[in-house]
Amino acid sequence: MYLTREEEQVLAGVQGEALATALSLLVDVGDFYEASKLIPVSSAHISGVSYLTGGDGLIDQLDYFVELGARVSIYSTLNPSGMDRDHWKDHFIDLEFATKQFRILDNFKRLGVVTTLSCTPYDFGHILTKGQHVAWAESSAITFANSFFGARTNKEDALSVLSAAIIGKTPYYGFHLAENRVPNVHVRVEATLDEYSDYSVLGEVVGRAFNRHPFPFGAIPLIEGIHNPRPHYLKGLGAALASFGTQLFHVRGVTPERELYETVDSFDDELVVEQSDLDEVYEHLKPDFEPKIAVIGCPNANLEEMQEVVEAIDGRKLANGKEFWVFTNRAQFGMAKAVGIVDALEKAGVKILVDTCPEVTPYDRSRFNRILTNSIKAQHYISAPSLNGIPTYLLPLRECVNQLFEEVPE
Amino acid sequence: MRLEGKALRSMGDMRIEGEAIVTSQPITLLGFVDAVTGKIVEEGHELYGQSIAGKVFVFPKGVGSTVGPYVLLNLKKNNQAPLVVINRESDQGTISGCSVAKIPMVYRLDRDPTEVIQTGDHVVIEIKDGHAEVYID
Repeated sequence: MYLTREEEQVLAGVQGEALATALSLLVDVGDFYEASKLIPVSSAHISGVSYLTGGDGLIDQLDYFVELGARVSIYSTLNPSGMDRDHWKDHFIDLEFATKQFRILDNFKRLGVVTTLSCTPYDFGHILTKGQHVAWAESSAITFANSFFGARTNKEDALSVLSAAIIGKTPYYGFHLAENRVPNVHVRVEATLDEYSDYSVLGEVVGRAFNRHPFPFGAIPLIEGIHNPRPHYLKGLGAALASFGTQLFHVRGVTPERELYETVDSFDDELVVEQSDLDEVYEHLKPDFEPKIAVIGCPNANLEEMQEVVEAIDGRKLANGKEFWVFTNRAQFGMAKAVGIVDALEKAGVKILVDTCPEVTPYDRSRFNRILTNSIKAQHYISAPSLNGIPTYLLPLRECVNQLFEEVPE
Repeated sequence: MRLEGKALRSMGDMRIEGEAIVTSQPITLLGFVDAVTGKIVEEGHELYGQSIAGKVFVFPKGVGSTVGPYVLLNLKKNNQAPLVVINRESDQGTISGCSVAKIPMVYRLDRDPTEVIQTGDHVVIEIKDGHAEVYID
């Protein structure tokens, strides 16, 4: 990878160890991908925040940069942490975890990162435009930024994005170049998609189908047969696809990079998705027990999704001994509070959690040994053995609510 | 047998030798590799239950969460890191994790390492100026 004279000096340590270390990682990545150069990025979104996922390695890495006096050089926001900063005790988080989590957040602040603590930075705090180069981590946010907005980011990882935020640049390869954003697989949807979980399940079906192809930047589906989807439906689709390595998808007539998908006439693979394909996933993941807790908000719920929960509850109360948790961020929470949605949810017995997400928060296993959700991504990661490792099941939102709320009085 | 390819430059030149553990299946670092024991804990994976600690770890690429590279840092911290990583196609997370955790990493070999290297093989790797030579007994 070509480095400018100034970049060579930074790498040699002329501007200090922190910048040299950060750039050294970008050079390793750039060399690997045979990037021609580094390009400036306008924002960073940083993953690797929860102590559950980052562990002591994360603390060490942040301590290292903080001790060297490093600062981010571009606007940088932060993924969810492992807990709600204010109400962690209500969610059965232990003190040791909380202490380490606060240390991580304090370190990010010292680096100049805005501690938004959400996996949906595009819902607030960032405005993305087509063709804008950014350095984002968090696989669901990358997929949404690339697909829905046509912004350009590679799958930055938790370490590379920290380096990119400090240096303000990223290697110029992959999704930063239009030629790598052309769809390589074709999907025709012949199933009926009515709600969030249908799109999430579609992501599972599509992601799994193309998982084994050795595409350098993952399968890039061009999807036909989706009409006027709500944005959060595509968020759910993208989050599920991202679990299988897809960081960009196009939907004919919906997503903005028409010039890339309207000219393609051959694909490396194709798939027709029928109703039975979705039904099979639902059947496989449906609970065969009486659930005690449901978690909604993977990725973090926005105002519209919280309103959907209110409508699904339809005036009912949470049944005795049950928990219904909605994960969002402080921006959406603030709006929901202002318009009465928070009060409606809390009155019904719902707990609304901010700063965190269903996957990166540790669950008290003495209380919860099986979890219900409406998100494929949450299903995948909550049950991951070295994270929470709790068996997790999936139902559409309305059915999640029906499982946990009292029946409507006659 | 001798393979040629590239290696991460940031760790400098070195000679490494060790015993290989090989899979042709991708590795999901976050959630499915236990950083405390160094074992693969993904059910159904061909390396399920086996430890990668101190081994020449050969796999096609990493997949999954962008937080995956911290698993490599945690493996290193817990003395359970592989001696060296050899990838077929690789991915950014594995590159970054190896770069920061100082786990030597070899890629773009002239033959598919997941085919020509077998679990248990004794492997010698020489890295010089970003160039790697891999010798298999």
